[in-house]
Amino acid sequence: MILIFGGAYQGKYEFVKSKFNIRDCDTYFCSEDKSSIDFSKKAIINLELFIKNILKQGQKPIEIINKNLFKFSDKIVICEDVCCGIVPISYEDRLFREAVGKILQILSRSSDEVYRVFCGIGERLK
Amino acid sequence: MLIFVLGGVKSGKSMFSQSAAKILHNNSKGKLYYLATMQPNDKEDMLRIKRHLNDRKGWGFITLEESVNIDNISDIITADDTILLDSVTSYVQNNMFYEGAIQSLSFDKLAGVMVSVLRKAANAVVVSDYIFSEASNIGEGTVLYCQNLGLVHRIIASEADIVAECACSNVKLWKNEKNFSIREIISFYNSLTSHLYYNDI
Repeated sequence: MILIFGGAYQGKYEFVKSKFNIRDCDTYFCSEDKSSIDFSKKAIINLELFIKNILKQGQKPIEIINKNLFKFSDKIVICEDVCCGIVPISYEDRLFREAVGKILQILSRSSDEVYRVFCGIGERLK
Repeated sequence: MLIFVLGGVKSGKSMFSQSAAKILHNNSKGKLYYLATMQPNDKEDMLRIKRHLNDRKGWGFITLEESVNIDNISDIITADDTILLDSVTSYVQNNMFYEGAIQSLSFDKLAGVMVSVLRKAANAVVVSDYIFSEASNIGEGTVLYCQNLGLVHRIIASEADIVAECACSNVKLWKNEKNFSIREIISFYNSLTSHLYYNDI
């Protein structure tokens, strides 16, 4: 697995496209309305939205990701880092942030390569 | 040795800091202290504390609690000890919002006292939250809090031997002028997995 994370609008997807030769047709775009992931695609982007969807349904995203971790093993996973702001006022937002943080740790541990994208520049952390 | 560890929420910073304190303590003679600074306000805080207690169960930490004046524990610490302070975030918060009102304090002085007390120990590991990438309008009091916390961070970082950032369980060193090897700490930290598995989210 290759994990790419970073703040919003930092050019994570552009970085992936150019570094790993990925096109839109190779990518599964997660959304807040969809509770599944198409694992036939090479890259999975906006994983944070998938996590948000799972939480909205009252389910446990950390558990779900752990159970399905093997499916990510040959994927490029792109996720927004939402963990570096003030503690949010709403409980749901706090839960979301913690779930994303923990899942990024889990994915990172299983990844061969980890990059953080900052202003379009990918910094290799692992 | 003074190690300053920063990271976002659930970045692995507490577990990395515990690992650092444990390894440094193994290589020295003194006691291993955990200085808890959080004042729990609600059930969520209690749960967080419970998780942290669980995460350091059996590690040999002696827990000290001091939420506003670190000088109160100054006499306990000896030159052989290792101390882990978790966290600067709550310590600054407790001081700034003491007794329900915003206190006008000298935060550079507060940071100076923190560093001088921690420096009494052979080893100190200090944990704080990186909360400075925020898009929402957070209000005047919180802006002031971020300013104060940022100042305290910069002072601790300037005094620290190592400044480390945890990002999704990866550790990046921003400062390590004396080139201390943290290989043993990293490999111990990477061997830990139980903290990654929550059964409640």
